[in-house]
Amino acid sequence: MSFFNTNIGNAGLGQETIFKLASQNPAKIYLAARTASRAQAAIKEVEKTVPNAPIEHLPLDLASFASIRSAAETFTSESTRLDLLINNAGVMGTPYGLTKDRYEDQFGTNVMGHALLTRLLLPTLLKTAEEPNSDVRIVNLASIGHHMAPSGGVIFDQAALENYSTWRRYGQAKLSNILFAREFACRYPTIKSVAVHPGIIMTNLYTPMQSNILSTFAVWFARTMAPLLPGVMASAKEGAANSLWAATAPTEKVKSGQYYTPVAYASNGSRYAHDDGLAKKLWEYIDTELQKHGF
Amino acid sequence: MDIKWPAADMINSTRASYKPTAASTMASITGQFLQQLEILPQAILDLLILSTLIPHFLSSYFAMFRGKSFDTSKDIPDLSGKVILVTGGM
Repeated sequence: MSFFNTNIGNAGLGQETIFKLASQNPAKIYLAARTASRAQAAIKEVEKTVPNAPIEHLPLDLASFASIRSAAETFTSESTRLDLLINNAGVMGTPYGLTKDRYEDQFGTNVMGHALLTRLLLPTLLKTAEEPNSDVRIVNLASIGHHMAPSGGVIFDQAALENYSTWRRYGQAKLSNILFAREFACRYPTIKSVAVHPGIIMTNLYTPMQSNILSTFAVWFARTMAPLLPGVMASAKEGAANSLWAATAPTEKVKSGQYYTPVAYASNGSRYAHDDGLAKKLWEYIDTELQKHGF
Repeated sequence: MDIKWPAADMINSTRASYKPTAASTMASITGQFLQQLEILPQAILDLLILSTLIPHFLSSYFAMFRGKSFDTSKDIPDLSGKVILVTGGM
């Protein structure tokens, strides 16, 4: 659910995003996704409106470092430039579990997965940024749900996370997306790095939420009450607007390191979201962990 | 020693003739109710955590009116020459 959403790993925002981008004649769009059949279906859907759209499915499972390495190798073997990276995929509200590389599922997929992908694509991003008239950007899908992060902001002990509610874990993952974007902006000033909240969008990310009678009622209630606040429950089309703005608006209007709520509203986020010490600590944790895995 | 299993049609006829009683129905419903009770504390906790977002939702909602207008059908510039990678998406 992207109540607070984030992205829709496979829930509609990504398809809407590539559809709008494909309409503006890019050289190439890579749709990095785990399930080939769903990726191909999304591409076919886009091609109905944009015939011969230059979109290619790039197999990627963000919960697996091996898959991420493979995806990055495939990409770099095919392309010498990367102008725009949209870290859009994610999971939300899942039961406690560990990824193949022993990170809590939501943190492992939403944070560690994207951090490694970004790291492996960094040489290409930096090289592209050196070219004349380049405008290289990374858009990280965060969420208003980052306000649910536990006390202290980020719990780095992956085993200890079993004792936290799934929403605390989701909150810290989304907070980490914001902090990662912020720290990246400081370390790589030639690349614009931002975090965005897409809005409240009913996507299939909400499915795990309906695991008991109370949460099923909560989702039903939210859907029922939505018409009272027009725009609260946005469509995928509306939900993609903020990330598309961050990705394509004139460069002087998009501030690197900033967190934006829809559309283009520079938000402070929670007190942890602008904690530079926590951002540095997260960066160093990620760095150390990736080194442990040979990256 | 040969063991003779009940013939399949005999089992099927037994199944077909099974009718839930009031007691078995009540037991089934009670079981399901108890299952929900078992996860109720966590469900309530989850809802309480989610409810902390309400003020942030409202703040974000009203921020929409302070944000900028961006029409994805008109305002995205030409992207010729650009290579893009998007994770997730269907």
